Amino acid sequence: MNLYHGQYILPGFALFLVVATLPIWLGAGGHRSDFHSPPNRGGERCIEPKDFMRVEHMSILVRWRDDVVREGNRVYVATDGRHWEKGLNTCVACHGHADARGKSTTAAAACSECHGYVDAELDCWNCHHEAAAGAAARARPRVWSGIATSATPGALASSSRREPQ
Amino acid sequence: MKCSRRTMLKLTLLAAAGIARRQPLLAALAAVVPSEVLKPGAALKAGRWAMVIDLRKCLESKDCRDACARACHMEHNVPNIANPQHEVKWIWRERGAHLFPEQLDEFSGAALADQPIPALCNHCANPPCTRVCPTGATFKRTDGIVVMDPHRCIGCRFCMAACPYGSRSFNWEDPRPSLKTVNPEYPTRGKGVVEKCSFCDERLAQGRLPACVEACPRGAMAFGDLRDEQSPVVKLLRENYSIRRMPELGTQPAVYYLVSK
Repeated sequence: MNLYHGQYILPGFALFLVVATLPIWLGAGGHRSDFHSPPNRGGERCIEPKDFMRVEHMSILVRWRDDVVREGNRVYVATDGRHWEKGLNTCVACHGHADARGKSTTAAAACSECHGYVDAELDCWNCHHEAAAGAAARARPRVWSGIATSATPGALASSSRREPQ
Repeated sequence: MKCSRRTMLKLTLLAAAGIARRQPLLAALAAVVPSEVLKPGAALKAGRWAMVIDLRKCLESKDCRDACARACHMEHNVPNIANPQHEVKWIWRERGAHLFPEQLDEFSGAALADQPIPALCNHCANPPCTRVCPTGATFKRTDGIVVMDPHRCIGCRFCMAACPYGSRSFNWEDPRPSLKTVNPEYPTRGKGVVEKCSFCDERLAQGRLPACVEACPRGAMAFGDLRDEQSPVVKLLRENYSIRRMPELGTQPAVYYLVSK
């Protein structure tokens, strides 16, 4: 092979290939970003199946927002027939809480884990309450029971005694 | 490998089937997402919501210490900001002479001129604020309530300029540091949006009356449907003399004040 300055060009080309493909090699060792699921206090089913929620939670929230603020429709009927109050507070009632060490793993933390990864700015929590309320709101059933009995002060007061240990 | 057109088509179909099998939920989505939305039976509904404030009862009570405003501001996380230029308010007291400039003179209604009278958004039938909003962030619902959608508010404050009643406030600063207590059931607002009284649409949806109406110790505030002859507001308005703020503007306020003749 007759290549002028081959002693520089070939190693240089090899070096270029390595650098250019570096991101591939760095990610090769199973270095996938492994996101935590949002914290789940209840352990019950979410409003819809997990796989669905994973993909579609944002569409649901956007739809809920318009339904509640623009249309005044505040009740979501899930595919399994359960009724839920539309609102971030419903999400946060399960997904926002402090963990066993008392460290706050709010829904917002779980949200920003993914949203930060894709560099999507999240401003929901500038106005909505990420930890929703401590005990009272967490203990308050978000399932809409037709009449707002669960929102009476009595229900709030009695349920707020059920503090997580 | 030589790939005939037939093989290519078969492979394409197989690949498509494979993708579809991996995403059964996505395929099912289309059927699921248009959720069936029910309205709870408990919600209060009306053709046109209105409020009647009986000033004869209201001004009688000197010891209520603005129970209506405190209840409202507590319920809706309205901050108490010391700087008057950054003030945020949903319901407040104003001198009668300021509220009814064309109706009071030195003889009729003179007693009201210096009285601190509760004022709030009038939820006008012809709201000037919604006409100027460039994003549709504020709009009138079919039941007459003029609501703010803070998600769409861009903070241009045209609505504040348009409102003849000063019912709207702008968040010049983040309200959260100025909140002593927070009601977790209701969101706060962010810096840069306009806010105002919502006739407690969130409480009406739960079958509850507005917070101010509930809080008034003298029962001076009534709330109801103007289209319903049986509603307390219609009865009060039929039997008493009432005034509204700046009727000459043609906005048709839904907040009525009962005064002695």
